Amino acid sequence: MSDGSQREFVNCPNRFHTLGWSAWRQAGQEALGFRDAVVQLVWRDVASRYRQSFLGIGWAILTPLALVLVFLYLRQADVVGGAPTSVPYPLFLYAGLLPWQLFQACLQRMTVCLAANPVLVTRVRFPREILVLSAIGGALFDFVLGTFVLAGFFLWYGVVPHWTCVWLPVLLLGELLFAFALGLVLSVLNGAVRDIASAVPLVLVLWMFLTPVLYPHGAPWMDWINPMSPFIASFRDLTFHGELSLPGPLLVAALATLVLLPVAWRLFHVLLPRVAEIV
Amino acid sequence: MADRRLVTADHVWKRYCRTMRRSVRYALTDGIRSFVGLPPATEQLREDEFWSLSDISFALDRGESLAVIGSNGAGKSTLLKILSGVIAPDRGQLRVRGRIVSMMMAGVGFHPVLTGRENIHIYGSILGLRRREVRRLVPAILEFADLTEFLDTPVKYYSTGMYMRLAFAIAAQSRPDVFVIDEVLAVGDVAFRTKCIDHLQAMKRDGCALLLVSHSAGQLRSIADHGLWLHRGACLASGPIEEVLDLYLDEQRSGHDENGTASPAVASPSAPEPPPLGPPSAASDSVAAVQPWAEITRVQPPPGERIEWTAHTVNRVSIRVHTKARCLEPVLTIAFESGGAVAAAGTLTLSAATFPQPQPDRTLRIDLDICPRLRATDGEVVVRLLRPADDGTAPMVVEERWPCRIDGRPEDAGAPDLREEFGWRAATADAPPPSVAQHAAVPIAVPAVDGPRAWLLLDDRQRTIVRTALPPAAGAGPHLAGTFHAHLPAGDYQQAIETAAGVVPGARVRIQDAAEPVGHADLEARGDVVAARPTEHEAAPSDTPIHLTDVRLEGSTPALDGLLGASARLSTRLHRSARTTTVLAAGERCRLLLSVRADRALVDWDVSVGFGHPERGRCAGMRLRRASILGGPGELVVCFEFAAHLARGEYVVGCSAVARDTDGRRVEAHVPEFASCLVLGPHETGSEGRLEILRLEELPTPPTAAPPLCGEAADLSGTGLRLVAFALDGRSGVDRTVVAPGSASVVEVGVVATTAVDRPSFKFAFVSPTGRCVARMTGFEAQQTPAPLAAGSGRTWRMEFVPRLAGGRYQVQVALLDRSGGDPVVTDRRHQGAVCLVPARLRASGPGLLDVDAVIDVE
Repeated sequence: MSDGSQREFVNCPNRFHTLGWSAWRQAGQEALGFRDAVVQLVWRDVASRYRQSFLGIGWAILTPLALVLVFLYLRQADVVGGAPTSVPYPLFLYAGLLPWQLFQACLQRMTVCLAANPVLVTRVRFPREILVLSAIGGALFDFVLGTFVLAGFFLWYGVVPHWTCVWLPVLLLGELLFAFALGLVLSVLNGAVRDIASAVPLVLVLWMFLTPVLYPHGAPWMDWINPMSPFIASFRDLTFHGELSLPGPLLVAALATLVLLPVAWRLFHVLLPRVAEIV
Repeated sequence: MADRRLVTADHVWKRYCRTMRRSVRYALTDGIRSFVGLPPATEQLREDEFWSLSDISFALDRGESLAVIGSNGAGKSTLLKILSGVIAPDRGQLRVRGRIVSMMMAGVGFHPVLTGRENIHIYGSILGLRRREVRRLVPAILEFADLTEFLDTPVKYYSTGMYMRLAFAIAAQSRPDVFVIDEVLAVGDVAFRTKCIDHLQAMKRDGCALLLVSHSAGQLRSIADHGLWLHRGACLASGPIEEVLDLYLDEQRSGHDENGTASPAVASPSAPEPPPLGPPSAASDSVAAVQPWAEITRVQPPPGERIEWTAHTVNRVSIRVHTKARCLEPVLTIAFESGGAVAAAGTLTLSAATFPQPQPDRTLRIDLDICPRLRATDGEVVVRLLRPADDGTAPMVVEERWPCRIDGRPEDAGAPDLREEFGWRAATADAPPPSVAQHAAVPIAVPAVDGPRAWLLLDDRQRTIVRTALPPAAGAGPHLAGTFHAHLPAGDYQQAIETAAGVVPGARVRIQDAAEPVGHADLEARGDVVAARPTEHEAAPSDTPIHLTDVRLEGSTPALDGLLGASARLSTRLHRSARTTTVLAAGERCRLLLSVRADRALVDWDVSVGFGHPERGRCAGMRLRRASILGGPGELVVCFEFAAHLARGEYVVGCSAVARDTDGRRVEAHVPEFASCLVLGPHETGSEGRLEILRLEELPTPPTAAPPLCGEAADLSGTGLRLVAFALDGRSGVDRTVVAPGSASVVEVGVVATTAVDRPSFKFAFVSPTGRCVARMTGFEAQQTPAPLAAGSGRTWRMEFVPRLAGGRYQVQVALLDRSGGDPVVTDRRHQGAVCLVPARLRASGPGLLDVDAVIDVE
């Protein structure tokens, strides 16, 4: 028999009732044991998205490019103004849109990941975090394609990225963890009430305008309460300037993520068995 | 062995909500409560909820398979989901060792655009397989599913059969420890199904535990070992698959179960709604006439014969019912109707868990021992058997009724009722409400009024529960006093007195559930002197001319023997001497025999027995007065018969006797702590029984006149111990032994040893009709050392024990063990060593009471 034969699973009421370390460790170990499944599910997500289409992965590039063109037009027509930027505006815009699109895609995919796979949620027991994680994976795939376009922009405008851009993966990890925490909560809530899936795109549109994606800086107080502000701003800072313009808010955002993550995970596990009854 | 156990379901309960909106609300509120560390708001059903699973227990070892059967909506999928760990139970727990893989009909989550190979990888990884394991399994999976040529075809071009074949192949080849299959085998062609079944058999041999849901009886018979029949969340039957399937298919054919699908609305799955108790309406009569599902074939006393019963004595009626259709959980109702009103009525559901269910063309034997606790009155005894209808239509009834006259208490024959129950005594109206136990004697306390017409008992909503008219002469006294018996549901009540002018309130009283020990109890006793033997006793000069020499307390009344006839006999009663504890069930009919020895002639006897609570003091007593019962010196036995309407708890029995000698001198004897008794609440004899060993004797040889052994002997090793005789209260095999709950019974186990056995032992178990073992007992525990048996020698073990079982029919299984080698080895086994019938106790209540012991069996 398989190596898991000694492991015992006890299904009883309120399994995650206590804050005990053992429940966490068990959940963590289980999730770790299914890391292959994350890869497979990301593959399923990406392959199924692009398999039956002519453009295929071209769509991953086309979408942000189209957005850049639209905003370029809007700026030229003086519909959206704003302070002059230190680098050419298309480059500046794309360097903001890229991490934002990552966040947006993560959140949208994670929100629906449980409701879209009722069979997996209600029939098979496996660590369901991996569904949420694989939703991130799908978004990350698009992001990686997008970075090639960013590289193209750099070449086109003859701009050399600052050496601090090697820190970008760390920044992105923070951003993704923040998104993961939100996604855990949103996905399980969306399993219970579908309003979440309708509300998330609306909130994301509003959120984008409150975040310095299209413009260099918003109101200073907004930088403190909006964790995405420092994430997006720092992405540009590390890419172009090599100096963080919002170190304080970034620290706050990182700490908020660290607090939010265990809380969200617990909520996810506590709610999931009940949501599986009604998903 | 414990490490073979893979699945253990331990009293699993699960509630579901019928409406979407509420279920979302309940899920979120429970989830948030759990998130902040609070327990769920309630463990009970909330609005719109029902028990999707109630109290399901089973276990599954390696290499075993269990089929869960039942109509749609019975809770099968819920059980499998809890087993898979997808949802959590509300009570109880389910343990699974090893990797569990579930295959459910609703699909497995293949992505239609991706190819077969990709889906194998994805699905395999979700089942917990590593990447290289999947890669290794791909050829085997494809071969099994016979889909090699479609490996790179998108799954959406597969047919349904191919789709399920692929899913089954992945799940089956992933070598799970526990494999759950829900309705999957219904698809695929015959060849593939055969292949699946062969494969499942092979998996079983490799030590995989299977859990199946299927509606195909043939498939289940070929794969499953055990069956579990769910009906609206409750386990109706479990046991060998053949038996459970037979029961289930019978039920399906009779069409009774069909409504289960339409209305999962029944909140309490095991208890059909009690039928209306009044005289049956014309409608139900006509239904019964059109569609009789059973008919009464034999009645004792003869139908219509006028019967005369004395209050507080036990009387038997028997009916035989010939059933024409199968009926699940019929309901027996017993009522005494007087003048168009129901004086007492009660119901008993013959639940499948403990009673054999009527099959078509069988005879149901119902023997009722009825003890009326009613005032002298004329009326009718009505016994009905109802086939419950699920769909709200009138239940189908067969009934028998006898005109009956009840005499009052024998001691008070001819006296007006009221004098017995009511007297004249001072009373205080403003006393705080005392708490008394159910059935206890409560002092009457109403204010003095002129011209009282009736004494009333009002409930907390001021409705009249009891009205007792007072004779005109009763108005002469200033106060009405005495006692009444609280044969009432627990709650707050108020006494009142009715006059021409209106109702004047009296004292309040709170009646508590009898499970709570409280100060008063009523023993409903009557006493008699059953034996008085003059003896040649030397008149020893002594300060104590009388001695209380012995007290025996017996559960139930052996005097019934004559009444019961030859077919059923109550077993001999437990009797224990002083200072040992006798166990009684609350409400049980008991006998107390008090032996008194006197050294001279005594008259004016006053013998009393008291039951005291260690903390609350004396709480119940009985008294017997006789002017002259003993001519000369000698020993007499005073017999008290009583119903132990005592609250749960331990009691000390004290006795005293007072008399006068011929010179008029008073002589007395007191023993304050003569014996002790333990009264168990009725709920302690619930569905899960208990056996208490009283004594175990070893006799050197097997019984010479052993009753014949019945039932198939299991073909075991043939060496070691062999069973040669087994008897429960002297009966064995298919003979029925009636065992009153809580009274002592005796099993005799005769064995011979074919080879020498160092540490022999035996065990026996009471098994309900559904195959559930409700109580078991091992003759010699591990630390005890019975005498070893030499080859060829024989022995009889005689064990006296108290079975505490719910009413019903049980098979007594017996097995012999050899513990010589450490682990016990079963050397002989008999599945039907004896059959034991336990009377179900039913209390019909209304203004009056009937205590009924019902012995029900299928002939």
